[in-house]
Amino acid sequence: MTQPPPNPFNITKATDFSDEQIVRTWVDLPGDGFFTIADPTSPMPMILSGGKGSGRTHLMRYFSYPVQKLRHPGDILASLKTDGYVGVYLRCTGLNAGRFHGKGQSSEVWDVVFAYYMDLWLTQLTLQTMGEALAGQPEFLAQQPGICMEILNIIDTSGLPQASTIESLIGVLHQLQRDIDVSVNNVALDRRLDVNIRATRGELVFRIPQIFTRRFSGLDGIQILYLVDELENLTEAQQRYIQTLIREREAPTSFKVGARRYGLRTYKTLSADEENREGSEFQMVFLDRDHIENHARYTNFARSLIARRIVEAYPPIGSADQVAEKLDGFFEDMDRTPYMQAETSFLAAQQVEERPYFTKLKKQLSAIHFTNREASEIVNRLSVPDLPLVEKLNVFLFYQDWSRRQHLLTASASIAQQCAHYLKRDPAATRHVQAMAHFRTDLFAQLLRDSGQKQRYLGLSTLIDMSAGLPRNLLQILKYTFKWASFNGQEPFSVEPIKRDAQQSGVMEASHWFFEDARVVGDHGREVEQSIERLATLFRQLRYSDKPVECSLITFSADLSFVRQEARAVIKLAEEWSLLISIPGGQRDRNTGAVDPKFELNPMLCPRWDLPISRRGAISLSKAEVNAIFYPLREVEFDTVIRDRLGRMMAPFRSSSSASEALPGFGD
Amino acid sequence: MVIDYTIFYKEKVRSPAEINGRWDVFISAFNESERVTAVFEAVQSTEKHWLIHPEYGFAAYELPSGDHIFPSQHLHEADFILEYTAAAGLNISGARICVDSTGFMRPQLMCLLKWLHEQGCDQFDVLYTDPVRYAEAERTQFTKGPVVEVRQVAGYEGQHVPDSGGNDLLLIGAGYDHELIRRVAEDKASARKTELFGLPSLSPEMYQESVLRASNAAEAMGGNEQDILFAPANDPFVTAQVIHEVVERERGRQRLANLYLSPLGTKAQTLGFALYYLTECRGSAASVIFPFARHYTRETTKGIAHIWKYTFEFPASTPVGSDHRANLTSGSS
Repeated sequence: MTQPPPNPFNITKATDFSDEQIVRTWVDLPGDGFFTIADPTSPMPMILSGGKGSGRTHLMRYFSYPVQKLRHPGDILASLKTDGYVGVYLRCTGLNAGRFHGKGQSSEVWDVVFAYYMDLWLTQLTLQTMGEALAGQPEFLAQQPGICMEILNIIDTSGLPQASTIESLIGVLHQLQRDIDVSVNNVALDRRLDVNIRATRGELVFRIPQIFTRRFSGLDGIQILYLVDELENLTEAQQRYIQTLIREREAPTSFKVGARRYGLRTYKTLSADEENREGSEFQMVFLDRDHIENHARYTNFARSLIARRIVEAYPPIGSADQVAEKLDGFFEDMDRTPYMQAETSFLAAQQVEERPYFTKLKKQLSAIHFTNREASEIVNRLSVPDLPLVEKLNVFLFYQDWSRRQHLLTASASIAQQCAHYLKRDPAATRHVQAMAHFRTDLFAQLLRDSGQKQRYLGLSTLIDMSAGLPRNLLQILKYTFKWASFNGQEPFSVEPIKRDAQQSGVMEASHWFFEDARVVGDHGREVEQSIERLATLFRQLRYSDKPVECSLITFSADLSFVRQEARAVIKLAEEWSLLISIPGGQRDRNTGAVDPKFELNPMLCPRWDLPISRRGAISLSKAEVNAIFYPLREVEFDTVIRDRLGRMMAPFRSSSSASEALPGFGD
Repeated sequence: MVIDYTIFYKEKVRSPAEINGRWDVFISAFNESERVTAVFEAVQSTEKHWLIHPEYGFAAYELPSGDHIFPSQHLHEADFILEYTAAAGLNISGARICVDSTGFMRPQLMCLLKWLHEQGCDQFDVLYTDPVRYAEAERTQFTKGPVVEVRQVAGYEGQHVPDSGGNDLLLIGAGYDHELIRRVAEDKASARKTELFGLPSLSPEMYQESVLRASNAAEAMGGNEQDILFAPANDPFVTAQVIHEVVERERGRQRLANLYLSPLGTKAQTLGFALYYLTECRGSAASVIFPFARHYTRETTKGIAHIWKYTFEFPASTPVGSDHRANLTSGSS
């Protein structure tokens, strides 16, 4: 049995990478690179945030000493000088912080114990890093006993062994840490917490880098950068300690703190509850937001990332630059010509008596008492058999006229006439031109749906857009796509492009994965999930209605000031967990002029509901609609919202307030 | 340390009436399953204690009657067990103890074992009843509502090392609930991950069902090659032996800094994890972690297939914390 080809996208998380792989798979941002976004030499502390898979851990590990060492084989000290920093990387999950809580002890006691424990942990990592980086330096070896002595002077050493080397000092500190472990672990059952706090809070964290720098001139100009990752694993009280360290930062140290957006629980410090402020005490970077706001840059970055992965898996294929050049050709794409004839040829080839949207239209006309002859005449006028997309456009324009209460036989004649001009590329056919420009993808989606075909999410740029600034999402889509292509017997990245079946299956699997993966942890998880399902259902109903009013609809705006608090909380959670994406600048309300918050459904979710990947139009939701969608107990109200909204979009276009208005064009 | 867990004593019977033994105290956790109530009725014991887990959400009128009913509102396993042992005035000195593990929450079960061990009870019996099947096959929901936190289980918290250099191992006892697997795997995202499946399973279809469910957590388990381990779903001793062997192997390869164990499978498997930990891991860089939810389904199974009696024996107990110098990486535990 032959082995399947290696999947270049198999690993989607930086945590699964070795240090060597972090280096090998590193791709910098086009232009000035990641260093301009998150300068590791900047003394200003920074919080690096974003959704799951925004590349935060990869970036922070890239800054860490073990990876610096791999990036600069040879004289490491000279390289650190060039870099201007040395990165001490700490994963908060390793602290197992959940145990510093409860067990019959007050929160004040736990705050003190945790801070001390954290100091010891960070200090051991710092000493390991410095000890290794400076190991071969004669000046350091001479200074080592003095450095150790100074460090031991920071702590209460009663009963502790002496240490004159960094290694033995780490041993002493590790023993102190283990003593805390024992006490913290045993307190669950014996209720006695016996911890001897031997150092003032923060002293070890700030003094040790100062001692090293003062005693060893080779460290001049090198910042000790604490890279504190996975902050979301700390409780609010524990995060306060990190915020305190940020506030009380002393040179030559600085911080880069990594946290998922939902995991940033507080900016408060232990210093009289004072709150750290962005721009004052720290800089804030949301990596995914930055990517979304710089679409072209993200697209180029994504292409380089994919190329690098392919080259890693298949070295003979060429250089990353060469692969990047021909990347589009690896993925079968859609016919994107104006009328999409190749994509709609299945309809032209079908030997059916009548296309499904015409059958539906005739039924609707019959319901308002048009005769069969009249309905057939309308259908004949709207028909363009060889160009199903244009035909669908005619039907859409007809529904528009119907909703405007125009005379329907006259309207159909007018549309037929305009269509003739349009097909001759007559600039006078502005209505057709504009409607096609706006609604082309939605009309094509309707054609597919009417014919029982799957929606098509094809081509590299579509896959990149779907990832919405989260590189892990992109890798996940590609991982599934590659898997399906291999399963179907294809050899991706060889001769022929990855076929559409594999892409569609991959996209759909990635969409389902994302919905599962982005599930909110905690008590409100189900409420958020239900709300997103409702919102997506509303978008889908509107997209596939007879007369959608907004094109590529996956966006809404709303004045959230007066909606229910519970609904606001659900929207906030959905945004923090990347299910919704906040649109900078919001949306100006047409009536009040006020700027309302605006949110896009994450494109990763869109295939799950047959929605478009790219956003264009937006609907403004009323207070009642927001409550009905995002307040979980409003099942009945949501049904009413759907009915009301949809009533205005579906023939015979009854408004919500007057369901029995006069019917247009009747009685000719 | 040369250990062969498979020589521990176990016995299987087909019905509660056949359970062999007589005890001074019998401890069980109440739920609506026949597996739990029928065994409680049948066992021969001077005292029979019902522990009432708040996670099942029983109202007062739904509780069983009797002299030894111990309801609790504590969700934390240590608080729950300490409240019970204090309220029961449990004196285990020389007492013959039997614990029916079947209805217990896993963390509370482990915590009780740890407490018994700490109190010097070096030998006791544990029962576990195999169901005929799970109520909804592979769709059976055990947890009700979301996982609210992943953390170490009280009494099973280790002394970990800060710089693992990527040499952490997470060993998950895979059960039916993929959401639990996912949460645990995400909590220790940087650890290498290994799954231990119950095979032979409690009944022939259950292995396939558990693999099917566990596959839903594949992404969280990571893209690297994983070891898959197997141990009988109803044998804690073979489970402990398999864990022992894989940890020894990893230790031999110098690839183990921090060890995390997470029993998400059957209670029998959970007992195996606890036995291994209490025998070999105390005071080392090893912890048991668990995804905690606030609510659990009261009844998830149908029927009684077999009833197992396991006799747990520990080396003579040592005072709390006295073994904390042991080090996993040095293999000196």
